[in-house]
Parts: sequence; C-alpha cells; structure tokens
Amino acid sequence: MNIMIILLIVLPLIIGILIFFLKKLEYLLSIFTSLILFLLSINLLFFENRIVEIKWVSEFGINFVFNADLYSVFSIILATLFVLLISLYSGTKNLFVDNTKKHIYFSLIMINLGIINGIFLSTNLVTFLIFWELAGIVLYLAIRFLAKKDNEIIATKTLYITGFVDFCLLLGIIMLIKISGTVSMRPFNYMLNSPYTITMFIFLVIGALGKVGSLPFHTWIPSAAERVPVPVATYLISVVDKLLGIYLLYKICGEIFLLKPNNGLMIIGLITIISAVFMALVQHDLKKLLSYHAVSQVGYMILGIGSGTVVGLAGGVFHMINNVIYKSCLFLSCGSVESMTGNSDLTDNGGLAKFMPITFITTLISALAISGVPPLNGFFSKWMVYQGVVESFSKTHSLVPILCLIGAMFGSALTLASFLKVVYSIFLSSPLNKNDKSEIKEVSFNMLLPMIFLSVSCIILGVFAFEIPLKQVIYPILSFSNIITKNIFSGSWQPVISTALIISGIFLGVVIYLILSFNKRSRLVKTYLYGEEEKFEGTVLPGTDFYISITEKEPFATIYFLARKKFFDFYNWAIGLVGMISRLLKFLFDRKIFDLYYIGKKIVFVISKFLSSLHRGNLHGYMSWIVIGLAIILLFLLK
Amino acid sequence: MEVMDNNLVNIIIAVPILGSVLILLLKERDWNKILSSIFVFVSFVLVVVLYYNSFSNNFSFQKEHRTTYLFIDNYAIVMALVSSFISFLIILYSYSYMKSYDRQNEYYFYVTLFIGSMLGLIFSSDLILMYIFWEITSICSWKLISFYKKEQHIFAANKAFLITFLGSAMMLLGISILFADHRTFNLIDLKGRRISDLAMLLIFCGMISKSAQVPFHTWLPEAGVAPTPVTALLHAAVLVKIGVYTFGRIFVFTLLPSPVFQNFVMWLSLLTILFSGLVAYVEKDIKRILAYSTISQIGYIFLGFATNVYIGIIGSIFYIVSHGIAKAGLFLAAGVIEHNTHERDITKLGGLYHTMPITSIAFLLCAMSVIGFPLLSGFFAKFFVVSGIVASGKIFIAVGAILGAVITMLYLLRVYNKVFLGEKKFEVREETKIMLFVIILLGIISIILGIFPQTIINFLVKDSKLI
Repeated sequence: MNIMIILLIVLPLIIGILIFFLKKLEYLLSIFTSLILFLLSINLLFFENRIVEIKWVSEFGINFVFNADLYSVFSIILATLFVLLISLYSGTKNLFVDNTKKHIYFSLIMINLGIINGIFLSTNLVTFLIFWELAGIVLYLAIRFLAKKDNEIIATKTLYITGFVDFCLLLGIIMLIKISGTVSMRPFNYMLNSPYTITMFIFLVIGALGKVGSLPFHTWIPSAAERVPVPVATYLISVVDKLLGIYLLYKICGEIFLLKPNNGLMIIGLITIISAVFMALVQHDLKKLLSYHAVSQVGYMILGIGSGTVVGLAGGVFHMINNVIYKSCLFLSCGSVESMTGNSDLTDNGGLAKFMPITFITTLISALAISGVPPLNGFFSKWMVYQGVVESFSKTHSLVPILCLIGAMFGSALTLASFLKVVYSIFLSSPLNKNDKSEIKEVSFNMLLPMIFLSVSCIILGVFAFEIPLKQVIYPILSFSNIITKNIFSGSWQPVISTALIISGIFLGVVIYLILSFNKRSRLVKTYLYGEEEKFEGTVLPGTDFYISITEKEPFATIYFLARKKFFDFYNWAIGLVGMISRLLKFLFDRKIFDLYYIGKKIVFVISKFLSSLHRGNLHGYMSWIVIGLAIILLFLLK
Repeated sequence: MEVMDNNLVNIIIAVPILGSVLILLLKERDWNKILSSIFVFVSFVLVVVLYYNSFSNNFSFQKEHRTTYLFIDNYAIVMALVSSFISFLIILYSYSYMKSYDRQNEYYFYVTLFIGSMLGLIFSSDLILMYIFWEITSICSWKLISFYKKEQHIFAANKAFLITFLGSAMMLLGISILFADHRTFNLIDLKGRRISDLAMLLIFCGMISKSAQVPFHTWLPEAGVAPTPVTALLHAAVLVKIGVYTFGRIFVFTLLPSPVFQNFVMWLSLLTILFSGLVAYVEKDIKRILAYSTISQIGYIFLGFATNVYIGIIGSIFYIVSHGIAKAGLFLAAGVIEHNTHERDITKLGGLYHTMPITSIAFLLCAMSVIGFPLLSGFFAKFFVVSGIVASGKIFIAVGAILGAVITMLYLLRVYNKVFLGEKKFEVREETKIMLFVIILLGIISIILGIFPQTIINFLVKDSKLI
C-alpha cells in the first residue's frame, strides 16, 4: 500500500529522466507508464490507510508526509488520465515544431506528473511548497525548450511571474506555520479578522491565483500558448495549472480559512471573466483565443469559491473539472486542425467540417459546453456558481455579488459569441484562399480517441450531473473538509428530465419538418440582386470580421488599442518599475558623495590642508605659535 | 579525545600558515601551486575528521579551556569545512587560470596565508587573537586585489583595505570598551554578558565593513578587478564571510545584544538587501553584478542572525554554506566566460549556451540556488531565514525579504539570459577541463545540499550550545 503512494510520485520521475537520456521509445514508455499510474490511482480509492511518512529535515518538522485525502485522489486520477490521453494524442509527427525535441516533451510531461502527484499528496506544507515550485521550473523548461520564436523571452517572463507568485506563497505558508504551530495542512478555519491573518490570506491567495492564471498574473499564458506545441499548451496550461491552482484556492478558502463571502476574490473573478473574454473575442489565432478563454473561465471558478457558500465552492471545483475537460478537448481539436492544415489561424482555415467531421463535432460539443449551453456540463457548473453568488448576496446584502452575477452571465454570452466565430470560420465558412484541400482528411485514431472521450464526458457530466460528479466526487470532497453538503441548492434544474425534453423537442421538430416537407416542394432560387451585377461570387464573410466593429467603437477602441500596446500587461509595468527604481537608486546613491571612501578622503584632506597651512616654514608664524602656546601653558599653570 | 581534537585544531591552522612561508621561498612554479593545494587540502581533511569526531562523540569542548585561546563548536566546524573546501577548489581552479602570470609564488603565498588566517579566526576564542587574524586577512586581500599591479587595481585594493581598516579600527575600540567593562577578552568568559550600546555599535561597524554592508559596501564592487579566483575567494569563502561569522560568534552565541540593536541590524540588512539588489539589476559588468549580489545575500545572513530565533540562526549558518558554494560557482563560471571571451560586459555577451553548455548549466544551477529555488541548497537557507523573521514577529521585514528574493531572481536571470541566451556573438570553446570540473562540482554540491540539507542542519542542531 505505502509503496503505491510513493510509486505515484517516483515512477513518473524515473521514467521521465529515463526518456530524457534514452531519446527513443518515448511514446510507448509514457503511454505505458501513465496507464499503470492511472490504474494505481484508481486503486488508491479503495484503501483506507493512505498515509506515508518519510523523514527528511525532521528537526524542523519537514518530512515527506503523504496523505491522500479524497480531493488529492480525484486530482491524481484526473491528472494521470489526462497524461494518458495526451500521450496517446501526441504520437503524431507534425504536432511539434521540432521532432528532435519530442523526447524532451515526453520527459517533461512525465516529470511534471510526478511533481504534481507530489503536490496533491503532500500534507506537509513545506514539501508541498517544494513540489509546487518545482512545477513552475518544469513549466519554464517546457516553454524554453519546446516553444518556437522568442521562447527564451516568454520562458523568462513565465519564470519571473511564477517565481514572484511562489515567493509570495512561501511567505504565506511560513506565516501559516507560525500561527498554527504545525507544518501539516488541515482545516484550521481561521477568521479574517486581524492584520496578520489578512496578510497571510493575501499572500496565500496570490500563490493560488498566480498558478491558476487569473488577472493580473495571466499575461504569460496567451503568449506562451501561442508558441508552444498544442499538447504542451493542453497539458501544462489548461490542465495542470487549473488543477493545482484551484486545489490550493479550495484549501485556502475552504480549509485554512473559514468559508465566508469574499468580495475581493469575487471582483478578481469578475474582472478576469470580462477582460479575458473581451480579448478572446477579437483574436485571430485559435490557440491564442483558447488561451484567453482559459483565463476567462478561471474567473468563474474564483467567483464560485469567492462567493463563500457551499454551493459556490462545489460549483467552483466542479467548474474546474469541467473546464479541464472541455478546454483540453478544444485545444486538442485545435491541434488536429493545425496538424492537418499547418496553422491555427482563423482566416487561413475554413470549411473543414466536410473533411474532418469528427473533429467538427467534438469542437462543437466542447464549444457549447464552455459557453454554458444546457444540458452540457459547463452549464451546470456555471449554474452552481451563479447560485453561490446569489446566496452570497442574501448573506451580505452588498452590491458586489449582484454586479458579479450580471457580469458573469454577460461573459458567458460573449463566450458563446466568440465560439460561434471559431466554429463558423474554421469549420463552416469557405476559406479565403482556396488551397488544395485534397490532403486534408480526418486525423488518425490515436488523436481522435482522446477528443471523443472528452466530448462524451462533457455530455455525461452535464446530463448526469447530480448522479455522477456531484454525489461521487464533489460531495465526498467537501465532507472530507468538514463542510456540510445537505440541501445546498436553492434553484431546481433536473438535467436528465431537461435533456429528455430537449431531445424530444428536437425529435418533434424533425418530425414536423419531415411532415411539412412532404406537402410542399421547396425550390432553389437565385438571390435577387436588384438587377445589379453579381459581384459577390466567391467572396465570403470571414469569421474574423464578426466582432471587428467592437474594436472601432469608443471606448472599446481605446481599450483594445491599449491592450495591443501591452498597456494592461502588469508584468511589463512591474519590470519597468523595478528598472526605474534601480536606475534612480544607482543615479542618486551609487555615486561618490555617498561613498564612505570618498567622504573619508575629503575629511582627511581638509584637516590635513588646515594643519599643513599652519606649517608653512615661516619663522614669524612659528614664533607666534610658540608665544601663543606659552601663554596658554602659563594660563593653565597659574590657575 | 578532547586533547587530540584540540591539537587537531592547532594543526589545521598551522599547516597553511607555516606552509605559506615555504611557498614564498620556493621559486619553482609548479611546486607553488601543488604545495598550496596540498596544505589547504590537509586542513580540509582534518576539518572533516573533526566533523566526524563531533558527529559521533557528541562532545563538549568548552570545559574551561582558557589557556588555549582556541575552541571548537559545531558552528566553527561547519564554517571551517565550507571555507577550506571552497578554497581548495578555488586553488585547483587557479592552476589553469593563473598559469600565464608571473609571481606565482607570491600569489599562492597570499592565498594560502589568507585561508590559514581565516581558519585561525574561525577557531579563536580570544578577541585579540581574532583581531590579529582579522588584520592578516585584510593585508592578504589588499595584496591579492592589487595582484595585477595596474593603477586601477592598486586603487581598488587601497580602497578595500582602507574601508575595512576603518571598520576594524572601530572594532578594536569597541573591544577595548568591552575589556574595560568585563576585564576579559575571552569569549567563553563573556558568554551571556550584557554589552554597552556604544561598544556594540563599534564592533558591528567592523563586521559590516568586512562583510560589505551599507554604508561600508563600496569597496566590494571595485574589488572585482582582482583575478577571478581571488574575487571568488573574497566573496565565497574567506573575506566577506568573516563579518557574518564573527557577528554570529559574538552577538548571537556569546553576548546578549539589546532588542533595539537587533531591530537596527534587521532594518539595516533589509536596506542593504533591497538597495544592492536593485543596483545589481542595472549594472552591466558581470563581476560587479555578482558583487552587489553578494552584498545583498550577506544581508540575509545578518537578518537571520539578528532575529535571535533558533530557526533563523540555523538558517543563517546554512545560508553561509549554501551562499558560499553557489557564489563561488557563479564567480568561477564568470571567470570561465571572461577567460574565454575576454569580455565582462553582459550586454556584449550572448548565446554562450550553444558553445559553453557546461558553464551554462553550472551557472544556472548556482544562480537558482542563490535565488532560492527548491532542491537547491538556497531554498532551505532562505526558507529558514524568512521563518526566523516571521517567528520574531516582524512581518514587514519578512515582506521586504521576500521582495529582495524576487529582485534576486530578476537580476540573476537577467545575467543568465544576457550571457547565455540570445543570438550567438562569440565563437569560443569551453576551456579548460579543470575549471569546468570545479564549477560543475559546485553546482552539483548545491543540489546535494538541497536534497540532503540535514547533513549540515542535524549537525548544527546537535550542538546544544548553539541555542
């Protein structure tokens, strides 16, 4: 039993290092390993005693204590499952910019899996932090070695942001250790009522938000996602970071502190949703668009957890799981398109539904899920989040939850709008430049399988939301943290019945259509052009023009202009500020007048000059000194 | 056992100091370096023996050794271990770095004497003896910084010597006041006594002048003109560590400083950390950046000691170890770069990752260790120090220390990016094997200490006197 928990951490690390040096067999090795790990992690569910302790720096209580609580077990299952799917997917050749670096990719994924298993299993706060920071370093290495163009700049930016965030988390954890007097993580339920706990809360939350990529720590995500290969973006950006960040945020808000409505977190969530979705609306590159949505969806999770209600907390966690599923499905579909057509640009692709029907359907399902269309899973978790927000309003009666509710719904609508554009321009419209399409066909089975699996799970988790995810996963997790989960819903939504109604509605529609089409014959006519010449032939409305008008209207025009100029990139602000202060300090203080050496030199010279001016070799001068001296001595003697 | 170990200490100090004279007398070039490394290696091995004796016996040395003027505790052993080990590696590095220069016997004479007097200072329990060794190191550093004998070098050496001398003169005054109050120079007798504020301040000035803290810091960046092994020696093993070592020895383990004084030290250290970190962010000369980095990192050590909390003190000692190793690695890697490209301006360097991969990896490892990333020794050092600050209840200073760590990350990675990444500007080969061996070894030791910090920490915790 104990060996199993250790194996979950050590095995992927060893395999990762092995792959790195072996430089071949990476595909088979990682599929095989992740399959074993997946089975192991499922096996973990059926054991009672899940604690392992290994001594390390025991003088200060820093030991490896691995205790698999339910949340960790489920997170590990999800992580290993995704590694399995993505390894399966990554077997295809033209996914990577440089195929010679493929072994680096697989080895980093494996090492990362070991590290994040370590994060989920650690109950000791210090080892938790160590694994946590290692995950950031793996991210840095992945971007540095696998991204194309400017990889070093983006990698450094990522490391700076994650490093800053991790140092904040370090301080938060140290403060937690100080106040609780223990190094193990467990429900403390502190109140946010003293400056100390508020400071601690802020530093811990910065750690979580930075990982999950909410505002203002998001800026590395779009630029990295644009450049790295799709599987890297899928795994590291849309799966791992969300799993980790929400795990920590859950622990902070649900266990370390008492669950209470937190306006600050809710506002961060709201701003994240709105601003990222506005950015996503006008993107032309599918990967970049998806990465902005990855940021935007995080807002809902933060909103749910920040609402400080049980249903909101559950909704936040559930939304995280859903988001991981549909966002990876979208990323993988994007990868399929890219691997066939060679790019992920919205203007260059078009009309692919005919050639890649399965990819089209999976994209459509996950796009509907992310937009929150019932009965898919995204709708259900968003609905839970909204309920949490409403309930938080009834607790606090402040204006913030109402504002958040409106904003979040608006953001949801914008999400749908931006995915309409994606589906239209990639799959439905005819392309602007009609290249040879004969080579485009549906991708191979190993790529389709993960996509199909994920989109089917979108449907299942939505339709059977109460039965499968909530009762089996979310409620046990919450009750593990001593949170009561009875009657948390205030609204009523019966997904199974609704789905049945929706399906029967569609069925009815089809029947009516068929009946009517028997009676009337429809005929095709040419579009009436008022006698004008037909100039529209061959031109289509490109999907990228959909929301172009919003970028021309004030005040959005200014905002978009500033965003394009990286005005809202707080990273640039921070770095610029540090540079400015540094230059100022160097200019003001790192100069001779503040140098002790020069000060000393000046003083010595002044005194020496004065003394030497008294000794000019002038006889009269010396004589007068002698006389004055004699006078002083006599004065003292005669006293 | 006790007597034997005491004799061992005498031998540890005597071998390099007496041996250095022999080096000066020999004119044969090859013998100089070999003898020098042998003497330092002997000292290192004997310190290791001391370490094992101490680990296995759980000894207690301080049973009234007033006649010997030397004493041993685990703090001293750890410090001696690190100093002699790093010094030994630096001498190995000098084999090829200093090959083409004249006056080898002079160089190795001063280096060996330097290390010997450092070891003497570490083990001395008498303030006057400590002061004597202190001044010997000053003289050695003065001669070594000006080794190339150009005007700029002589200026830098004079500046270093005069500022540190100003500090040590103040310290001597402080020691005299201490003697006037307590009628003894012996640290064992002084244990647990109170000390007047003036004496404390004067002695502290001596320490910060040696450790190059604000406002006595200006000599250290200038001293970068010295040969690279010498700068590495100054920064990592010997010179600047003297100040923090004696701070720990006198103000933490011997005397009882007042809380006001501790507060003052903490704020001054924080100021040093932030100021020199920020200045390092805009400097262009790689050695100056590393020098400012040293100033900033030494601030953390003072900070940890000044908390007067157990975890902070242990953290500071561990910080000395980890910073010594990592900073030696950084300087020696910078030396490899300078040796091969003859360029120290980081804006003119670039793309060396492709031609010098080993140097690049070693540099990155050591930089990560200084920053405090986990699985490298710097993580625990920083973690313990910050824990100590939080435990002493000073949250503002803890936030400042974290900010300092972020700034450290900014400037060290800036150096790494500018030097090793980007477009390739130099067609050079990595040379020489012995230099590469030394820097990669230092990087690996950073990892080993990061994974097994308990080798040092358990050893320190075991000595009950260090509480």
